[in-house]
Amino acid sequence: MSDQFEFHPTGLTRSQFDRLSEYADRAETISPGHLLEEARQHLEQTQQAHAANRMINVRLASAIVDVIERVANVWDSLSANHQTWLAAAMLYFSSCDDDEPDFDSPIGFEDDVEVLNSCLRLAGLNDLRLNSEDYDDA
Amino acid sequence: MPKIAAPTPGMRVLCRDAEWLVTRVDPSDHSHQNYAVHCVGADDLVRGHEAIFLTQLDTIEPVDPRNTQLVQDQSSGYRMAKLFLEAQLRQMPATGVEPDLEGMGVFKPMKFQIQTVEWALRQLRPRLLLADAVGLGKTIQVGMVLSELMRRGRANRILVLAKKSMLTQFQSELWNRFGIPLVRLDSAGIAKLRLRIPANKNPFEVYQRVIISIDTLKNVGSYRHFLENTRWDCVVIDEAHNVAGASVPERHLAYRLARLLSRRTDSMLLTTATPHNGKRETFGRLISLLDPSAIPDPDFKEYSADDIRGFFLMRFKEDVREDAGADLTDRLLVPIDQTTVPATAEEEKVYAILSELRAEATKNKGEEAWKNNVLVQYGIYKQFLSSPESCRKTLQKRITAVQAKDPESPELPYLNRMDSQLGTLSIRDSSRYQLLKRQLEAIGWDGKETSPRVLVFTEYRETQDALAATLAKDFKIKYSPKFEQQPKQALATINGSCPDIHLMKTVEAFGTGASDVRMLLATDVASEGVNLHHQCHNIIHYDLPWSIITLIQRNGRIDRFGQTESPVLRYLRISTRDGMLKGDESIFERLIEKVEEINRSTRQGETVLKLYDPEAEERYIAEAGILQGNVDVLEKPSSEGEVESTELESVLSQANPAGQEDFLKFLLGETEEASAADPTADSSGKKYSRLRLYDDKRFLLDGYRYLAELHQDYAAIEENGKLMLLNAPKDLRRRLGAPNERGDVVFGATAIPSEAWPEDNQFRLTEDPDRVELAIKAARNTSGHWSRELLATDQQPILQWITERLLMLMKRGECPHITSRSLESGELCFCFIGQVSSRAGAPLVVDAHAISFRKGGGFEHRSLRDALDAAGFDSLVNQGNTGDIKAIQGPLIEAAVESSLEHMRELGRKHVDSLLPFLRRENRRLRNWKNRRQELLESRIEKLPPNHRKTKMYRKDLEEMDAYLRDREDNWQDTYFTASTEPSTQLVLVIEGVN
Repeated sequence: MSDQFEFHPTGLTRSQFDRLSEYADRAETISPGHLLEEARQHLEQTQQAHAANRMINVRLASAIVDVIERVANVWDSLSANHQTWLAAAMLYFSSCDDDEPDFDSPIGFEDDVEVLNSCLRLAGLNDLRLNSEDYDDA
Repeated sequence: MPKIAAPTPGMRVLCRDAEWLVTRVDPSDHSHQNYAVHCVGADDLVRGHEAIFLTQLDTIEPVDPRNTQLVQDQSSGYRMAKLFLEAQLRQMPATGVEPDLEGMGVFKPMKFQIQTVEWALRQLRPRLLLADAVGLGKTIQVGMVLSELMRRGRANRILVLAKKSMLTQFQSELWNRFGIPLVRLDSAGIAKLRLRIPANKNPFEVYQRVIISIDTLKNVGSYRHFLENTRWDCVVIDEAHNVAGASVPERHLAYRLARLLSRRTDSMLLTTATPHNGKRETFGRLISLLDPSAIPDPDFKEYSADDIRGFFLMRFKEDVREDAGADLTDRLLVPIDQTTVPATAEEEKVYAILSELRAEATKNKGEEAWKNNVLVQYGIYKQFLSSPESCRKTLQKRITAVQAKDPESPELPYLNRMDSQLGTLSIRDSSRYQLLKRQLEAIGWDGKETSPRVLVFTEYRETQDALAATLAKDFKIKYSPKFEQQPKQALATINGSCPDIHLMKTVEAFGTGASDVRMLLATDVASEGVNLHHQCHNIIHYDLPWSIITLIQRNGRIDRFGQTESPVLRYLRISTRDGMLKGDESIFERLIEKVEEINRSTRQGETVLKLYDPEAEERYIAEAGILQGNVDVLEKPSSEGEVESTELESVLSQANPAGQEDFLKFLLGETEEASAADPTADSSGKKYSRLRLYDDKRFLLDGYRYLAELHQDYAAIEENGKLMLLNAPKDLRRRLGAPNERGDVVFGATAIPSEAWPEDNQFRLTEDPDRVELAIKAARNTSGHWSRELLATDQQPILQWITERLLMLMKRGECPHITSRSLESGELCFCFIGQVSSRAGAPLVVDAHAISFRKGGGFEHRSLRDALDAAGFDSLVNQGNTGDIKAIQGPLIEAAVESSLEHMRELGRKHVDSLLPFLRRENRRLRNWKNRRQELLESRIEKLPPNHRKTKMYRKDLEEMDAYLRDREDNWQDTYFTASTEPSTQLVLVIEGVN
């Protein structure tokens, strides 16, 4: 499915792109409201995990969900291509098992940010992009 | 039942029906569920014995602090409680990133040396290449970093690798100046040790701190199994260029050894004044030894300044001259015209033939008979410049070889004429030797014991032999060429054939005032690493190596930090009438000037010609300068390798913090606010914390005297002005490995170097570093490397032994109870030392604090210092008021312990939070490296057939990358940063307020 798009996110590692492409294939069938709900649930799990492991970057996860909410607000104004990739980025975030395990690394959400930023750039939503280093403090 | 934390250092535990004091805890498996608990025996059955217990095999019972039994201190002035508390504080690891130079050792710290320590402590994982220029005190900096790491509990197990000739020098510097004892092991020593321990035991785990030569250990095959199972806290590799310069590193044993050790240690320090040979991969390889995740390119050829920034410090004399002041004396070059004489008439005849020979060889250089004939072109000439003896030997060999190969060779008539002309010449008649004698006269050298020491370098063994024999005869000095005689003679020689043990002894004798050696006549075997400046400031270059690098290394033997006189340099030179050879003089003069220019600049000598190899420099100067008659040969670099080395130097200069206004900011690459952040500041935000109730001298005196009152076999400690004389009792002798104590082999032992152990077992300790400095100088005047007086510092093994003994004043689970009139009546002040350990048992947070309960339910949490001040602790006297111990036992202690544990939990949380930015940055760097490396390797694999040798190699690189990252997570992050779930605390004193 993802092969048919002429424009796709760039600057990702091969494994990030492969995984994102898999999510893009699934993304069309999921509504933005559901994606947002999944992202919020993942943030909740992150907060719970943080209570036991302070190295988990709950601030960054929370910032990602904020961005996802803002993307959801402008969803209808986005092209189908951009919607698909952004939906894939949301699914990527909601999955624990990605390039950098969310709950098992002090930088567990950095790959999520990279994927999301890449899709935001593709969609021209540059002002929503995040800088992980801004969330390094506990 | 309340949860009891794993054992921590300072804790008393029960194991195998005996009581032990825990000194260290290491992980014993990858799960970090099990520990190796290092202990010292604490009860009568095992007192003074050391042991390591594995939690998976033994039941180790720590005491639950809630069950602590209070013991009324009945000693006068509460000495026992005070000393017990001081001992507890002394075994607490320091925290914070600011170095505390107070009492660290015997040296005058320079700003640039302090910066080294500051940067090492800032690193989450101290790994540093010290690439300062020759003679800027790299060993001192190593000692400073090790001392600070030891104070933080991060350098208990140290391995130093050095060249054989440097072992004693390095060992004695660390002992004399820092009280760091290294046990010297060689192949025979390891073999002997293995005979004394069970066959399956690891010889590298017997001693905590070891120095071994690279040559001994590089036979990785023999020791691989043991080395792979040994973890070190810090590995130091001296003269580290010796492990990274090979063209095929995988086949280079020393490189493989260094790589193995790099993966088995937390901290790593590499030192070298020549960190690269102009090729990017040699420098890259050194950096990758420090941190395999620094450079993504598996061949270490492609890297940027950002990849290597923070891994090395490179300073030159000019960078530190202002800072060093009088410790870096300006050297004096005796004007060349004063050290130049004309050749004798007989020598001129030889020069004339040499000139003809060169003209002929140059004219016919394309012809087979002359092509590539280095010896004829300039080799024989260079040897004649040194001595007739050196030239004659080479010449005769050449004649024999040419006659055998081609009796019609056109070079033969020249060689025969020269041989005939050389016939009767000897070094004694040579103008150079006569010049040497005049220079020795100017120095006041006559070989007698009042002569100043002189270091004379020559390039050739034949010259050395002839020179030694002739000097001995002319100055009526007894001289034998036997190796073992060298340290005992006024004239000593060393060269490449000299066995290391004799070389070390001769070097030591040359640096010892009372020894007979007045002149050291050396080939370039002595031009790297060894310190020859202690008793000598005169150097004479008898002949001139055609290499800037060699000359800088030679001069660096006496022109270095700690030289108290102005080094005086003499380059002996001969002028000739011969037109062709006369041109060479300008090149030689320029060579000398260049060396002096570099001495006054902030660059490496190697950068002038960019050849990075003495032999390559010699070849270049000969072929591009001497044979071409090109006097400007030294004005621009050789074209060979110029582009690569220029690029490399540019990268190094961008990454080097030397000369930066704010070196920390530069290294951290951060904003000012961020650079002020501190990954390991303690809970109070202090940059450094060491709480002491006694200074080192009082602790030594009072602590030992208290112990002596309890042990009749402890002789009294004498105080003589600033000196304290301590006769080592039997258990100290056994504990610190006195040479005549043949106990069992103790694993994890600290042993004082046998040469440093006083013959009468009497240690002379002082708190005055200047006094020890004098003692070091006195040793150099009388006996050699080892100072007879030692600085009483907290890392000194004798003070550590006293600390251990005092910790055993209380039985397991006991804590002293005292009373104070300064506290409110009925107030109870519970003093604790708490610790949050990593999952692998390393201390993350250690905190001394107090919980006070007042009558009526008042509660206060304070720092220990504040609590002790409130109780008037320092001036407390024991008035016999016993307080009410029974009322305190039980619930009150339990409540105080709970409060202390909660306090430690909070500190643990804060600590992890404060570390997060640093940990995230490091993890980000690792991830970036992984991504770049993976991409690079995969793109290379794609271009190759699947079964290609390189494909397999790159696949292996990928596997190794994953293994490395897993290891970083398991053995580094978990060891040093991941907090265990439960902190521990120990009640160390209870003060009760009384009327």
